[in-house]
Amino acid sequence: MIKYRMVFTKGEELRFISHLDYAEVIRRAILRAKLPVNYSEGFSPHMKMTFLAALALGVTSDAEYMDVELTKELATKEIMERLSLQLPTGIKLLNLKKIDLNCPTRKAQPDMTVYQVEVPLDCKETGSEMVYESFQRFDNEQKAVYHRITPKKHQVFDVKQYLSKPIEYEIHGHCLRMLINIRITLKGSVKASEILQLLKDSFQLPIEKENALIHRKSVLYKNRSLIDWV
Amino acid sequence: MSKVIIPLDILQSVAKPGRYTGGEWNQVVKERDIVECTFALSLPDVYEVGMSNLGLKIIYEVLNNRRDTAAERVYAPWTDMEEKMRERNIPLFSLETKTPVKEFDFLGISLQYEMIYTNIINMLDLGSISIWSKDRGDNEPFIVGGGPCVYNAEPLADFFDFFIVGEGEEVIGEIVEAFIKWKNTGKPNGRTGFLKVAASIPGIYVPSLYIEKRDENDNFVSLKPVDAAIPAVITKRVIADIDSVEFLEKPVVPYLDIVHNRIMLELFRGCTRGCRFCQAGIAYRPVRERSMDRLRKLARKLVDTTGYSEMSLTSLSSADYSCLRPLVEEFIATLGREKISFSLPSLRIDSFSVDLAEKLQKVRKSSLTFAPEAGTQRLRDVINKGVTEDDLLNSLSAAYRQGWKSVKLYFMIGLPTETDEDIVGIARLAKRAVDLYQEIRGRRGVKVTISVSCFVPKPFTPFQWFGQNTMKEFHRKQQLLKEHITDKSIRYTYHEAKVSLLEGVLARGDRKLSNLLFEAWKAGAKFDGWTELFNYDAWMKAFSVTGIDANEYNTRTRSFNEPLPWEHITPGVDKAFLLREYNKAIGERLTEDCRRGQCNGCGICPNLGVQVIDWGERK
Repeated sequence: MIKYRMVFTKGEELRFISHLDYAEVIRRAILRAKLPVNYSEGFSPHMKMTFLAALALGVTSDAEYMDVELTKELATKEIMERLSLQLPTGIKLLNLKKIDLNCPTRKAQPDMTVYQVEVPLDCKETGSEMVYESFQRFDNEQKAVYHRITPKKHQVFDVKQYLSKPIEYEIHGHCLRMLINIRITLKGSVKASEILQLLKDSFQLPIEKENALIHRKSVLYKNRSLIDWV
Repeated sequence: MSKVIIPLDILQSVAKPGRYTGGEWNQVVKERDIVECTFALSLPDVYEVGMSNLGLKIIYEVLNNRRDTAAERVYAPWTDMEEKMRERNIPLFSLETKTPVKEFDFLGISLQYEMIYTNIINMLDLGSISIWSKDRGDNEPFIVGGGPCVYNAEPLADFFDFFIVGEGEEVIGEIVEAFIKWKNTGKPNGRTGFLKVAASIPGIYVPSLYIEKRDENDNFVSLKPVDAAIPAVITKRVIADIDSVEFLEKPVVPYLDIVHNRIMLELFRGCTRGCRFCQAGIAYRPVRERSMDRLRKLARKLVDTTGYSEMSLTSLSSADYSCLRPLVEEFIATLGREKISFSLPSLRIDSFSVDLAEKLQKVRKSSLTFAPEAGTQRLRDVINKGVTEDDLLNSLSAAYRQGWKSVKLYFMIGLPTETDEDIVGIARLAKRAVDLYQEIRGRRGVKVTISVSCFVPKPFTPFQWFGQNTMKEFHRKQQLLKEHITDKSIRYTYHEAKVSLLEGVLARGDRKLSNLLFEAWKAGAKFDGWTELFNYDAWMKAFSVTGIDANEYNTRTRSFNEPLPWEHITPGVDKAFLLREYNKAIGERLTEDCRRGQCNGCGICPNLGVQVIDWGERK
């Protein structure tokens, strides 16, 4: 069994395709590319492929990691060419590496994701002052409590535990750009959109949250990209 | 050509935004300047339903295979999206290039069931296209209908520019060619000029070129063409050589999960079992099978171009395909190795079908479905179902032995000659199905679901004259059945009689109903086929505003010599045959399947100049 790790993009065209549907798109592309993929045993065999960090709906990405098992070894160049031909507009195969089965960290779970956010400022509010103020307040607080309410449960947690460093931001005209490093821990994590919601609701950040463009830049383990761990 | 931009915040807020963003694998995008004709294709229901229709997929591909034509898709936006579109004045747009539907040359609408009629009006309105065909200007698209409801298109006559009767693969190209010629010669006589040309193409019905005559009591008398150049009767188009006609090779593969999210390989068209309630059985005659060789090539191609790992072997009655066993065995041996699984959408009630289902099914826990349709032998003979209780019990025995623990049985109530004994017979049969499990497996644990629908008489069937049951009668029968179901292993579900009665009005309606549809839409009716959105009050309001009496259309029994509003269109069947079948039904006499038995004289083969194609005969 030969394992490969692949990094795909999820572009603007697929922004509103769910993580499960996205996985299905890749699965079908692998079938069309006729890669000698390995299947599980049993009544309904399924393709041995695993995504390393699910992405929220409405978010684009340059860091969709997937491990897949092939039954025989192929040159990475050949896989790259055959699979790329079968990917729809909006998905690119950025990189792929054979996973060394002896590599001790091959099972490494990611512990950090980096998001870039571009969000229009709410024009009715008064300019950049308010932006600086709300970030200052956010940075000075010991805790930033968020209420995650889903149809099934209501969780209350401190967002700060998931931020490894302060949010970087800059203002470009009517647009606010942010860079957010979010920890993934055993207890869980927080979504980029949830941080925006919190900043808007509890720290009066003047943004049009519903027009935010959220983009995942990278997925890391101990500050190194997952593709560098294999 | 303009392009609609859907604001991000709208897509962030609606359910399943992937319904509106397009970009799927195998979608076809063509530059407008290189084509001469543009088609927006629609099924006026939500994306997941619309994308599952095989006919529309075929037309999409046939049109896009032409260099001179671009075909794009558009479905009914769900209510949340509609609300946003109306709020921000976003016109209905195509998925491929986000072009407003209004800017296409044609809007082709697939008419699969009556309960989507109000959605058509809603979509025209959302597209800023004139709702009534008489109001449409030269720069508006031609609204074209096709599909099974065309066999009685009259309730829609005033909304459509023309209809395609029968199979579309060949005629659609003739329409495109006529259009391009008309366009390139300076559009002589404008819109009507083209419609007159279209009316001369066999299989095209242009309702505005026919005049309806009604008597002093406002009853339908006749529908006659405005002049002698227009055909008095439009006969359906039919593909004589099914093996050489284009079929899907590169269907659009959706991002979202849709209702039928798999390869659909059509084994054959038509069904000659002759069930007397069934319109499809007449509409798609004669049976024409694809050859194994053609199916083998198509299956290979479809697997390669889609990446699907599930294939449905579709037809009206797939188990009737003459080479089904060798085909399935070959597919399992070849494509099965590539982890492709197969399914049969319709099971016949016999052990052959159960054996096949067993072969195809990897996981055994799912449920098997059979359609005995009626609860007693007498009534099954009336509808010419051709299935005995022994057939059903044998099939069930085979299924139980092979490990199935869940079966679903389909029935109808309100069939001609039905008595309470027939209703109780449904409960009895279900109980028999439960007991049989105990006899075979020696324990309890089976689940038998009976799904009971209300019969809607359809045009061009032997029951086209029959008065539908009243609401009161349907409700009484539903209750009666409920009282006779005592076993806890039986799950009983039944259809809402209100919807079936409305379907009964539209199925055998005439032109007067255009107004009813319009008023119902105005009162808020849309997505009538969706239980949670069905707005009965809107329909009641429409009946009262228009003064139309529903009973005139659904529960009234017609006399055999009464002129019927759908007879200017024909699937090729002789009326004498339908009448003969009706009398045989009343006499509880069966008619044999003509596929391998003798000809029953329905008239379709000679009238259309086509032949049954059955590869089993030629061994």
